[in-house]
Amino acid sequence: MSQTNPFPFYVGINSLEEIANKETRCVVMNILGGESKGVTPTSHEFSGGNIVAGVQYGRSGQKMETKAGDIPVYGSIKEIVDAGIDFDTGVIYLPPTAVAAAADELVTHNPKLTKIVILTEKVSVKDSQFVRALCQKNQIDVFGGNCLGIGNSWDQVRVGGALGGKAPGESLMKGSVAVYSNSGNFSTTVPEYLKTGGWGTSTVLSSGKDLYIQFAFAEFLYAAENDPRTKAIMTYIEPGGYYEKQALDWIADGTFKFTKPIVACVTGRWKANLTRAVGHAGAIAGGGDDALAKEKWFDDYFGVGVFDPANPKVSKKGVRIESIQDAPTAMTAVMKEIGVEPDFASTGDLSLKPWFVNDQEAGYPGELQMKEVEAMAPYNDTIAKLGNQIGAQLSREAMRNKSGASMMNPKTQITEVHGVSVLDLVTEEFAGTNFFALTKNQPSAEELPLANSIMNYFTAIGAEFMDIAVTTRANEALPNAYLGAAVMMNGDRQVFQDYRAIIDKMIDLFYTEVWGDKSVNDAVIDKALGQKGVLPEGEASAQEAAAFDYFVDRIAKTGQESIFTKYAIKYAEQNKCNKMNVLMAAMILSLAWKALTGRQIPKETALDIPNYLHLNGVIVACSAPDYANNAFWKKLTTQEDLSLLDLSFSDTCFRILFNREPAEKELFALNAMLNLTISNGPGTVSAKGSKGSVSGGNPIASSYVGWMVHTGRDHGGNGFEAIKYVNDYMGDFDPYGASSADELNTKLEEIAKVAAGDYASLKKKAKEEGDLKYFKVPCVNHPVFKGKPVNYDPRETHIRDIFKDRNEVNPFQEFYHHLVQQLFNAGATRNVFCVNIDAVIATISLDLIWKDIKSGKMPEKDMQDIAFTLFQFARMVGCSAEIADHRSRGNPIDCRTPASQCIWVG
Amino acid sequence: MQLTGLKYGKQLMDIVGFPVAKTLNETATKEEIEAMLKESGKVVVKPAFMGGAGKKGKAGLIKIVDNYADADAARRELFFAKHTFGNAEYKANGVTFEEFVESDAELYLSITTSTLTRSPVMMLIVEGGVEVEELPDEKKAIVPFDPFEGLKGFHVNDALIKLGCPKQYISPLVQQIPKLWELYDNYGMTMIEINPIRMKKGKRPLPVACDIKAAFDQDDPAYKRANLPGEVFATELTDFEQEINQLRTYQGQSDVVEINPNGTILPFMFGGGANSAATEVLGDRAIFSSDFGGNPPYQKMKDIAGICYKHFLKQANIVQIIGGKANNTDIFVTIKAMLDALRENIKLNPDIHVVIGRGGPNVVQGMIYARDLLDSLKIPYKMFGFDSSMIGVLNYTLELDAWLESKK
Repeated sequence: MSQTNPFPFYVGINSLEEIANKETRCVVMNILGGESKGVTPTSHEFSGGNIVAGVQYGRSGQKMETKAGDIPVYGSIKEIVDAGIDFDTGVIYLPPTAVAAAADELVTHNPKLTKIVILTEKVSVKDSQFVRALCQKNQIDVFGGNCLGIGNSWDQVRVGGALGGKAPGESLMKGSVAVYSNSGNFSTTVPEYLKTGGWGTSTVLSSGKDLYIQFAFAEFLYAAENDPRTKAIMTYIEPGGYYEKQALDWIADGTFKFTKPIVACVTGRWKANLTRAVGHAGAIAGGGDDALAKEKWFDDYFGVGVFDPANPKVSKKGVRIESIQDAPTAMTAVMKEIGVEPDFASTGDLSLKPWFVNDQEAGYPGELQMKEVEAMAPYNDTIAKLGNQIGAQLSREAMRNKSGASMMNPKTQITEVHGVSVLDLVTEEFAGTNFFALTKNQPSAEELPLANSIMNYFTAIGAEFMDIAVTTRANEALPNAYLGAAVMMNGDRQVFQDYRAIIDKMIDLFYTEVWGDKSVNDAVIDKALGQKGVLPEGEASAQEAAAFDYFVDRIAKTGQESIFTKYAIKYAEQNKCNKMNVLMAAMILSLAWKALTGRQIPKETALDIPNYLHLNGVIVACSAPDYANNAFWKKLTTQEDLSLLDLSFSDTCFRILFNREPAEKELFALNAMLNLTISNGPGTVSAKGSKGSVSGGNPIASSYVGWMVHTGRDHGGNGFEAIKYVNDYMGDFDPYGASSADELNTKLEEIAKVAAGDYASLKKKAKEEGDLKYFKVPCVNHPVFKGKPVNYDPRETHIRDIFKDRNEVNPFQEFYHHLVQQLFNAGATRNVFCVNIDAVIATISLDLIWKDIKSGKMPEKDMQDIAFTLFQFARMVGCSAEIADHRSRGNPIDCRTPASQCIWVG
Repeated sequence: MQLTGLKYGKQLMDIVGFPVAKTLNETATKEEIEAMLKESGKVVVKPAFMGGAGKKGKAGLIKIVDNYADADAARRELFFAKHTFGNAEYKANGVTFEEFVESDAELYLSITTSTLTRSPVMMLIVEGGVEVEELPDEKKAIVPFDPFEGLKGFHVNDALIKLGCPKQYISPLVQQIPKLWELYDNYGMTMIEINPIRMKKGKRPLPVACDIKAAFDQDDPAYKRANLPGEVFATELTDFEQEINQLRTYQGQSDVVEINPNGTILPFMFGGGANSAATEVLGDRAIFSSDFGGNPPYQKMKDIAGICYKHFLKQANIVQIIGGKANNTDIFVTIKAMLDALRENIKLNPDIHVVIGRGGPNVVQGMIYARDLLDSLKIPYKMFGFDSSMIGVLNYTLELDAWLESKK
């Protein structure tokens, strides 16, 4: 074919229609490679089957399946040609080092070849240079490297790469604009933008932006001029290379005739500051080919300045735009200049339309706030289909040594649960923390009264397993075991299953009606009530009916009515069900709604919250040491005085354990200590116990027992050691009887001196005897907070400061501060050790039980049990968080240790 | 990937035997320098920069001395000289002492690729130390040639005749210059520039390379054949860039250039176009310019994101994910990878905000995943589809960044 065009080098294409059309027949090299496998079937199907064969070295005889029929795969180009398959276009998907050879193979074996499209990025300059020279000699047009494909919107044909993605028809709408883009992505994005101005496309070419652009701007403009479909050109240009200058110069000097307008976008001005290419290899300028220079080439050609959307001024030759967002407006202005109407009605605009928004109460000022906007079709349907899933969607992974619930901050050594330091939990109400562990949110001040009542109610009904605990306790079991026995009895009982079913149904009934808004909505409630018998059947006992009335009243009084509670009450009036269970589920769902719809917790966890809280109630109820003589316990558990449910949950815990009303100071101390010790990170033996049980595939009650049986004399039970140590040294001294702060201080110092002296002698003697297992003073020193002349555990300091702020002194904690000083004075320690966090637990415990010990009311065994029981109360909360987290994220049996990591020590 | 100067340039010239000025490095002894002074009368002292620091002469960083005391003073002055070129500040680490080549004639020569002829070209100028761009066309000979045939003696001869080169120099130049094509063609080069070549006086004039600039194609492994020490190129990269670069493959997916290590927008840019647009709009609020397009697989994207967060999440106000309507990149996979990495690193900065502008395969699935994960972390976010202007999204990010800065 003799060349008719005026180029000083070979160019075979004379009109854009010729680049890719219904007649184009392609062979794809590396057709079964990763990238092609995803792209080629779409191209083939979209184009009505334009790929006649593929090459995959060494895999002759295979095929690529597509909806438009199978594409045969051969081992080489020669095999394809020998098989009599005709094709004019070779598409190369091979890695960069193989591209030049592939081009050679195509040219050598296929005399009918007219075009090569190279998708590959990062082809070396030397290989591009080779391809150029080779194809010039053999009269082949080359597109790419780094060409993302060529689209013909009129013929609905795509050649080469993934231009237009999985739905090329969406971007390639028939129209009058030819698009030439240095960016592959923009060869899809720009047509999308043009659509909003009502402009479709004729041919879209991703030119690539390597140093060598083989089919460059001049060739494109020449072919566009000869293309009757094309009325104007939209081009996106980056710095580097003189291709555009050459094209515009050739038009100016009459090398070829060009009459159609161009809208040109040049970006990359800022890139002049860079000395190395990012993104496109060729997008780095030398001296005179930076973005500024290119802008000037175009501006000089157009004869007007850059396009101003507010004051659109263009010439018949076109206009330059500053960013691609101006493409539709500028194109409309340019087309108007030549009297061309839009191809179709606008498909929308490019204003900011966030599909998903959540400011998370960050307090954005007005201009930064935005509301969600419904996405364009068909994306709105997909969002509706996929987006209605409620709750967090967590991916599953091996969670053996991981947790999304807690962590020990390695720097501060302070445990955090759901991102909140346990130190910050100290002043929260314990009932709130029971919810927080599961919902990641503390109930608000308004919600707390209801949260307390719920926890108290679960404690009241939790006593039904007291006989199991009593029997186990009589067999000398530790608190973890007798409480665990009571918990284990619960299995996955019907009421847990009912709670889940009720919450599940309520989510189903209301979520897509009210989204995050849980306030009463009578119309929606009435609609839901139209569905009869949708909740589990049952009947409330007399006790439950009374409790139901109590809660109805409580909800009203505390202003906690929600769409769920109102629905529950009305549903119970109209249907046969256990109304207490329905109302309980509704109340808990109300308290969890924000976390659930805010996608902070998965739905699975929301369904299980009553189950966790119910078990917490069992633990507290069954822990009463002197239950037979505990009037409070009796009244609570028989539910004869429902006003007791109004108490704070920590008050309930206190009265059950100590069989008396707490002083305000005691209540604060107990509440603080429980919150402080809910977790010590996922690596603790208790947390690992719960995770192990979850990974084994157990119901929640069994997973509770998992952590409980991993506590014991050494984990949780050892607080007693410190209590006993301090108590023994106090002897007959009653720190609460001291007449003044000075007297107390002097006495505590004296006692500490004695204790330190004893310890120094003991240590000396033990060392002389070579005994390394001698008694160590409990609760002092820490592996991290050590080494300074005087050391502090910041956690202990924090609690001490909180007490100080309340003008309260825990004498036992003060004793410990004297003790560490005296130990140093006595030469027993090399510096002043810190008083560690365990001392806080021990001294608060001692503070709480002191009176009962001194009065003889509490025998040593109970003293031991109480310290351990307090630990159970706290850890049930922390471990509920751990269990919920592991259940929603973990994989089955993910806590196993691979055999390869197990060591035999024979 | 560039080098300038004779410290390593001499090594290149030696490969093909192109004559080059004798060169000593910063450790040269008094005796060595004095011997060089004795031989060539004067010594040229230059700071040694890594990378492509050009225009040293204009910056007054080249000293010509004729005695040891001055040479030593120049060594001290230039050893840690600073030089701003482009957006980079180069710091010297050493000097070279180069033979002063006494000559009556200087030439400029380069071999590079021309985007006009779409072929390799040689440029010859019979003047040295010139600013090429400022010279009129008639003083330059630009000779395109067929890469299959290479640069031949007759190309050089014809050019020199055209430029009116004194006849006594033509034969030595025709003999030497084609050697540079061998270097260019076989060692992965995209540009070699010798400016100046000085014609050393003697029985027969000898062209001597007195300064060299070379650029290498990082996509062509042939550059490794020159056995240049790693430091020549390594110092061009920051620690962050180097770490990301280790994940570089031919599909791209991990191109970064650090723009402002004190920036507050951590931008994941996808595609060359988005890279240009975002680099332009975000300017130096962006910590780096990046192109992670090319459909990176999950693990690679997650590794890349992890490195970005490790280096910069703490200081950032906003994580920006920006791209047009992707053709091939799976948006679900890439967003999931970036967000999973964010979750793992969130302790570094729980106050981060996220702005996403993206389109392409599985975009809704990706955004829903991001929404769920960010909600669970309580991270504020806005996600725009491709029906919002990319530039508008970037401008929104800038405004948000300004507000977050004002709150600090």
